Amino acid sequence: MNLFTTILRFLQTTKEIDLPLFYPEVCLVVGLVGILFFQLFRYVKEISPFLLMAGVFFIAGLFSCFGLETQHRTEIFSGLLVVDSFTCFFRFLFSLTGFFLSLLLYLNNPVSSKSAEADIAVLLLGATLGTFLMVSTNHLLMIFLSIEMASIPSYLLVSLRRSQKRTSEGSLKYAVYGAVASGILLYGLSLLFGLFKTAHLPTMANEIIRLFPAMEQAEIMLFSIAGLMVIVGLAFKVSAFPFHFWCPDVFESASSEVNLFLSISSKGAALALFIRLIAPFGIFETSPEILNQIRYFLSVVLAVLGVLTVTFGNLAAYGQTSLKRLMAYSTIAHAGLLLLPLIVLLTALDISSKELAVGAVSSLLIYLGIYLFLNLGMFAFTAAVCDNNESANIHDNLSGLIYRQPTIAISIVLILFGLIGIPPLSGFVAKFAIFAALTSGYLASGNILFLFLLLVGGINTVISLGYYLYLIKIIVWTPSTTRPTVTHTLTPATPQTETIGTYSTQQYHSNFSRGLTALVTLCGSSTLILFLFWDTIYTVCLRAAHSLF
Amino acid sequence: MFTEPIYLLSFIVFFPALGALTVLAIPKQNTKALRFTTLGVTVASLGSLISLLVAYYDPEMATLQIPFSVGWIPSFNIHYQMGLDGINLFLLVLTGVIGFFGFIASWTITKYLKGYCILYLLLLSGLYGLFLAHDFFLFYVFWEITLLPMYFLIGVWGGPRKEYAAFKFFLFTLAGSVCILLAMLMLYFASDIREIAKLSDFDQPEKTIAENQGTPPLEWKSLNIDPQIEKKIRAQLSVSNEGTQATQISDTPIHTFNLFALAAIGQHTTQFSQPLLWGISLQGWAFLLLFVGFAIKLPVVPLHTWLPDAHVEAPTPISMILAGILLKMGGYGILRVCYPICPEGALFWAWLVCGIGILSMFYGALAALAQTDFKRLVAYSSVSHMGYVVLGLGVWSATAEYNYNTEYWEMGIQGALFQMLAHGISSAGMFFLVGIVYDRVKHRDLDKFGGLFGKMPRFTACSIVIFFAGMGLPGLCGFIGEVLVVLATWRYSITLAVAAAFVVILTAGYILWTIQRVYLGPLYKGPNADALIPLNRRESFLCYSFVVLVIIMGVFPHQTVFRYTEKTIQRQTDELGRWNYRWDQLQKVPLK
Repeated sequence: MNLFTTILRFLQTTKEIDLPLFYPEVCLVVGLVGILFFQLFRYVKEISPFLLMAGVFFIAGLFSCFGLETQHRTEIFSGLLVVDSFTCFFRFLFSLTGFFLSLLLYLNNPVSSKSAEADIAVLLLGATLGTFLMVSTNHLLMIFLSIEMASIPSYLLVSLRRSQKRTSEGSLKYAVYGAVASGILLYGLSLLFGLFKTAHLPTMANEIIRLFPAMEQAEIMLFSIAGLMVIVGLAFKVSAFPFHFWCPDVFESASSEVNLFLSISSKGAALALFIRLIAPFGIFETSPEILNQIRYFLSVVLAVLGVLTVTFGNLAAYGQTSLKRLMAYSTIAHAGLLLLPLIVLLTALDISSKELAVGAVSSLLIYLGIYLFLNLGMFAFTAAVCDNNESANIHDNLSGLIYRQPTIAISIVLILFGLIGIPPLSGFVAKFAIFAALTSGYLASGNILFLFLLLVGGINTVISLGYYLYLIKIIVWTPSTTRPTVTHTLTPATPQTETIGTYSTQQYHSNFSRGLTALVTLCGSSTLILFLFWDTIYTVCLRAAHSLF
Repeated sequence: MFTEPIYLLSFIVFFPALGALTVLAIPKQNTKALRFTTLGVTVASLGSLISLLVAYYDPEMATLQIPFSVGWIPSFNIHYQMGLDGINLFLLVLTGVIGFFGFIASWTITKYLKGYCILYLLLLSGLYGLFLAHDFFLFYVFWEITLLPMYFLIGVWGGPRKEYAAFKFFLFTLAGSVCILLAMLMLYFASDIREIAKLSDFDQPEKTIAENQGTPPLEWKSLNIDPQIEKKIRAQLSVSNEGTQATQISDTPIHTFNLFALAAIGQHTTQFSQPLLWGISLQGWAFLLLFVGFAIKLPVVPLHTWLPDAHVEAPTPISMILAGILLKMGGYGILRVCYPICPEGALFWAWLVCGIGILSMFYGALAALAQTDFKRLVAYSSVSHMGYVVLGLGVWSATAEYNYNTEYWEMGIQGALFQMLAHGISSAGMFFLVGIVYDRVKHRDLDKFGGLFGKMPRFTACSIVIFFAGMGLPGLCGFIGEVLVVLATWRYSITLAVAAAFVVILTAGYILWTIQRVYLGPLYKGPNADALIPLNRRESFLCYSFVVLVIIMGVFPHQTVFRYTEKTIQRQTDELGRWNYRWDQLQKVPLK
């Protein structure tokens, strides 16, 4: 009888509390099954799976919207997951990414057969489900499960363009590296579980506070190794410096849509997971001094990772001839910059400053939100030119673009200036928020490390100028290269010779449907619009960050 | 309704941008319409600026005029706020004048005319915004906005090495901007406006001079604080006064980007005085970072190397804008931001600022002597002239030694400001003259010139007047600024003053030698000798305008400039002098 009532109560809480907070994920699952199911019927089959997927993401985004402002921290499914505004923010961000991704896939279909389209849709929905779980995880087990849930579909997505020789190399690299990273992560997680006898993160934080002062040398050693292993696993997803090797190859071989997913959703989820791991240690009431050592260790590791990543990414981007590889290194550099607010977060927990912690987290959130539109524009562009021409050479694709496609060229130039981070473009807001977090971190704690990080950030802005301006130079200055056009287009555009100014340009094939032009232009103009109205976004980010602590 | 400050000043700023939108709608084949629309916009913006000044500007007022402030990004206390005073007034007029002249000089541009017109107008918008903005963030945004059009204007319409020059220009300026950004963030997060509210006559108009130990109280009104912020402060202050509900409203500092509030904080509180690194305070570092950022734009030696390249490669009108207005952004920044906000840093680094000023003067003049390229020579003369600006701003003689007498320093700043305006006119004129010659003979090699006098007498006459203005001949505009700066320097350091006076000889050297090499001597027989035709109507209009401006400014400096600027500058130097007194009291420096 007792057992029966317990089960009943459990079911009731699941139905009344847990499930309503889980609707976005449910929506993805239903959509996933639905798309597969639709393929069985003759007429429904004709609807593009990408459009269906866009619909699913739209609904999931709507569901996540509800909690964006007011959701308090609630643990669901007996503490496996946690839902707060922070979760909702990321769900919304990933739904938005998914929505634009579906549109991009629909406009620029990278595969020929209908069933392959359904495959892509299902895999993307599955991977996004994984990222949803990653940002709401509250349990060691869920960390591993959600990361795998996001990773395994990505391995498949990367290998979709099987016709290309390069693809197999990239996808194999990704799968092998990914498997190793997962293994290391799992090892670290099990060590942590063994040390503290619990997998529930807040409980584990309490246990650490309780046990850490009495720990022996060997146990501390084990603890730090376990922590490092977890960091390695996550750093692989973020593509931080020594674990970035997969990134350029994968970005070159996978289709641009997948790149967008990897650069926003996958990296964003990993960063959110970092915060989820750090935040439980911010229980301000219980003497935080005990944890200072751990936090110091973590912040040094993260600072080294961040500084190396951003510097390496920016320097390596110089040597690239392929636009997609260059973008890969650019995402590495941005990921490095995104690691820096985590250090501010750690310091904020050190000195028990909630304001500082909120500022640090929200700077990361607004960065991701703005970065989404910048990357969307770039990858929509590479999807249209590089993937369809089967060449990602910078000169072939970009030279003289301003004479061929002025609207697109201006949008891309705006996006590139945005990526450098120059006002009045949205990228500056992102950079400003990160620098602001670092500065306030310095003034609050007086730690010289932050001055160093600020210096590195500033120098890297100047370094990154070189290659972005190089692209802009090719777009605006260099006349088009004349090359035989590759006929691999859906909307056949007749090759034409046009004379503009002093240049006579044989049109190199750039196949922009009207929809794609609209999408790229939207991203280009969003750089200006988001800059003017960033207070709105920032307020949402602040709310999301507030709900963490 | 439309006479409210926000509409008036926003109109000035965004009118050229709206013009750019109009130009966008004109088909690119219709070059005539493109040119005349753009010219119309530049004329109209100059006209509306001048009529605004005539209608609203009061030269007797020392504080901000027609100010407004509207919230933009409340989460970072960023406001859209602007206003006029004696410091930015003439830089705005200069922008209008050079913008107008520059477009007349652009008549020869044929390549991608539409893009050129759009970028040109956007650049003007950015410049107006920069000089009007009084929120540090807004200032920074406009600072960078001017960078983007300039990059393309040099890079697309420039000479053979345009890509290199444009990139170098962008790289240097961006490095400077990063320095400014870092300093801006540090000052923002260290600031707390509530302390200023307590020190000033905020909400307590009965506070008299006597109560405030003899010094006049801080005028809250003059800071142009946004009403939203005032409400926040009032909420927090009233709570702390009553002491009852203190727990309910959080006691968080209210940071600010308002330049005047930051200046008040820098001068009246110790918020920026915390030691930062290696024993130098936050003010010291902020001053250094800001100074480097602005000095790159100015430019001063050794951060000047982008300038000769950018000038040589840029087309004539863009050189005019670059020398005439863009360089003044740096001087304006130092005067508006560095000194009022970081007086402690300024006092600490005064020797560095003056040293760099003298170094630039010497190096620029010597380098100009060594040039064989006509345009490069004018570019180096700009470096030398900007050295006077730095020196004039930097001669902080209002110390205990001279009983905090600010008269001489004020003279130096007046001189620096006048030098900026005079150089804006004369160097833009010089670049225009070089452009006229280049358009005809297609080279700028000084060794191949000579004897232009015979072929183009009227042009030569104008040239000599404008070059003499650059040299600093009494009666022309260059003289006033130089003499005031040298006189002010005498009080600060006699050695520096002698050195500064010596540079005048070098300047005379390269200017006279240039006139001799280009205009005098036997009739020109170099390349394209037949192309040396007399000035057309457009060119002569510009030449005569420059000559008239140069003479009027030289003969009536007070009536044209000082009458409008002196009150503001006096106020700023007086405040800094009083700060110096308080600072010495704190440091226990004996009074002489």
